[in-house]
Amino acid sequence: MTSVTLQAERFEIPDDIWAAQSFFEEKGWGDGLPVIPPTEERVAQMLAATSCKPDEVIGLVPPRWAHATVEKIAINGVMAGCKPEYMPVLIAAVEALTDPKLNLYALQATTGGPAVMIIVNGPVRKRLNINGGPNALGEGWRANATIGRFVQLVKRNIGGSYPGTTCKATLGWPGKYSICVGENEEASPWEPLHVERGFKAEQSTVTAISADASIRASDLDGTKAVGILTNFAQRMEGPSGPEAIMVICPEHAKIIAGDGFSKKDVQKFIWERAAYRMKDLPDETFAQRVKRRSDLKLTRDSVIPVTDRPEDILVIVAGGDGSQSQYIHVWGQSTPEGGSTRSVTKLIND
Amino acid sequence: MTVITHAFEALAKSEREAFGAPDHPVLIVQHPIGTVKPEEVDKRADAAFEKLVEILLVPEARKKVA
Repeated sequence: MTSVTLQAERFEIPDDIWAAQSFFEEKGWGDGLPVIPPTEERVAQMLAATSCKPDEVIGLVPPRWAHATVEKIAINGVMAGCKPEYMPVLIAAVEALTDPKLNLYALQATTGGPAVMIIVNGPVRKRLNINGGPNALGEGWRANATIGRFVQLVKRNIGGSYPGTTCKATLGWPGKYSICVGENEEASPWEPLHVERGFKAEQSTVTAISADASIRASDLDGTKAVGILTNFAQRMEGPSGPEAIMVICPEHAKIIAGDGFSKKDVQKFIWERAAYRMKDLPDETFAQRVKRRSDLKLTRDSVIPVTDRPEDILVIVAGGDGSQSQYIHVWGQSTPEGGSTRSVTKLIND
Repeated sequence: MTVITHAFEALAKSEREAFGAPDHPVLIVQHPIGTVKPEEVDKRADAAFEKLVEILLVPEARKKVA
């Protein structure tokens, strides 16, 4: 049924799912989990879901700096288990992933081992059933699971990022398999992330951001914004990278907004309290900090906030019932020039 | 040229291939650096320095670098 000319090399493999997995494993294509064989028919179905041409280059994926063509995106989408209708999201995700501001090369090469977290905003969430409700950062939704997984497969299969050689993560973390969340815009009292970044509410976007493992920021008994936000700030000890992510659950968001806090107020309140006190640091760590950020002229009396600026704390609303928010540390170095990585938001052309 | 610890050797070599510069010299020093004492870092730097100068000044030396 293929009506387009595909460029990728063809391999004949036995019509047996386990034999196929062994083949992929030998080739080094995958993430350790079984992958869906990208047959011509499946790839063609993916390509039919976009107006982009198969040979169009969306970006260069490090460390191999290989061309991420629409065809390769379709192939990796199939392998990850994505549905054809996810294609516009996958293309936007690769645009974000390969934007120099994200600095994917550093994210791939560092021993820090961050994941690239995908946040989806706008109407596409409903259309594709991208979860932002119960267990939003967990399992259970095909779109979340496979779009997040697709990102990892692109990094490896196109970019050539192999653990131990070209991916230097000391430990990594499970989010590297997949981390994709829709913002729960319907339960948010504030404007969603993409609107904050200049897009229209009726548009859909993908945001890519460096992400380490999350820390639960629960406050089961709090009824006041000040208390809940103070608890958040206390979970954010130590500096994050150039940005930080606060995923606020709907119950917390409702209380916080009910006490008159705008999103900017939330960022400012947390930023003023999520401090890294130089007086508490071991000597070597203090000396390293002084050297790394000579522009801050740090002394033992200095206090470093979690990020350089309050607006560098991304606030999104996600989750279901319960008073359980999460803080996600962003891998990267904060620098006078703005940092070694910045989150990137791209429009989904659906 | 690139100076890198051996833990990043494969990555450095992959980069020079990716950028179409297979002869770009890569000088490998012992890993790690961040968690060793300054005096040990000085020793390693001294050990690497001669090689580094040679690579920069003597074209033939570049070819000998892995």
